[in-house]
Amino acid sequence: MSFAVIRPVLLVLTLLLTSGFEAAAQGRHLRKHTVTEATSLTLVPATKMLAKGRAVIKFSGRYRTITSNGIPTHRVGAFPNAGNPHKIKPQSHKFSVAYIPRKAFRTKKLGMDILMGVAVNGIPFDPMAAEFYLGNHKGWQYNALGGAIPLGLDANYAHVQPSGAYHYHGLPVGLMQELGWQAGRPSPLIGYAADGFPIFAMTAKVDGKVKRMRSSYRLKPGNRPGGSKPSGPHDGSFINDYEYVRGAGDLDACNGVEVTTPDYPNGVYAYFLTRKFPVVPRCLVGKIGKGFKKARR
Amino acid sequence: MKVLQLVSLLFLPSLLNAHDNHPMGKMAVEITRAVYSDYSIDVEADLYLNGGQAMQLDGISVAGGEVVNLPFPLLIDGDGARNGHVKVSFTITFFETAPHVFSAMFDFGPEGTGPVLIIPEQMMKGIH
Repeated sequence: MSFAVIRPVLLVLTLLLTSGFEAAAQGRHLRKHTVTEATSLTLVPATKMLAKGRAVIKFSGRYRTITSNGIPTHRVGAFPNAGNPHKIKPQSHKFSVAYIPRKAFRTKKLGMDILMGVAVNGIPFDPMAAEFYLGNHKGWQYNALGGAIPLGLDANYAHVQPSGAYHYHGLPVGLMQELGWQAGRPSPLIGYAADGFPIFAMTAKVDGKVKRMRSSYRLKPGNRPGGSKPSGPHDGSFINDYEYVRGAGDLDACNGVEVTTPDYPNGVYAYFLTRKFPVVPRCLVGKIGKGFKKARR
Repeated sequence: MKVLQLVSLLFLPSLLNAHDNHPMGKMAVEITRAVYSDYSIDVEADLYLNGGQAMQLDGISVAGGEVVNLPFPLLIDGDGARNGHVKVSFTITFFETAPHVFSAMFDFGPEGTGPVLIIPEQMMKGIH
């Protein structure tokens, strides 16, 4: 049998072997990783422009509804690629959140079942990667931005689910460029969290000055426990390598803080995308709206 | 022209840098200064090699732009055990208006490629 004949078969096998992410949300087997060191995070250049990106934000009654076809209007990386075997496909996203969100009694930690929010271009924020040490979904979870596991992220820190849904794991660089984000100015509105509170990127005006919002998460000191858990220093390979240190930064454990913005002159609780971990918030303070539960596909 | 600065970062491995209190990896890149004009950004960066052998920077790629004024390959030479440190200056010229946030890919050949998030900003010494 010639190589030309078996090459497509080998390609399919390779893709199948590398297609574990988001598996938990879809009831499939998780990959069993043993990597414990962060390595270079490689990003696929965003060079492809897709046609017909569409997102609409409407207000109806007490709710704000965001619908989109899941296609961004900024450039994206090439998919499938070596770390992500899926192709971007149009979606029927429909998200609904409270127009006037309120904090709940307790915060909700993001798991693999809930999207964090949706950007104003209709692309979801889904920061959690379904990649676990030894495949134990109750154990040590890899940090999608830590570089230990290649996920085929593009320059927007985004990649594609098996369903074809393009989603952000980190800073949506292309969207921020489209929105005119600048470090010396308050962030434009980047999106809405699943609980309806707004999402901004890194900067806000505080006491008349533009302030860079810093995460309060820090790497834990020392080494991981080892044994049935990973060993080695806490280097950011896993989200478990980080801990929230109250007061270490400007933001709370959900990467949020009360701010005043032109859209919210009376003040509002807002989430911030940060340059350092967690980059995209990992918990929510309010009641989760509709459309954010990840479907088993 | 607007003077901008500092955003850093790193890779190889992970998003760590010399200001974080934990072990570094083989290579770290820190953008120490950037000067923004409409179609280009002048960048100054520190390349740190933490132990090990010499490494070679084969190129820097930026979507929608190109790096000029920096001859490749560039050798970052440690002595096999101690840190190496090289300061570089280069210009990124953009085909359209320069962006205010973007990633530059630093290509170290067989040692790997890593993104450095560059966020030109006004002078804010010490902020990372």
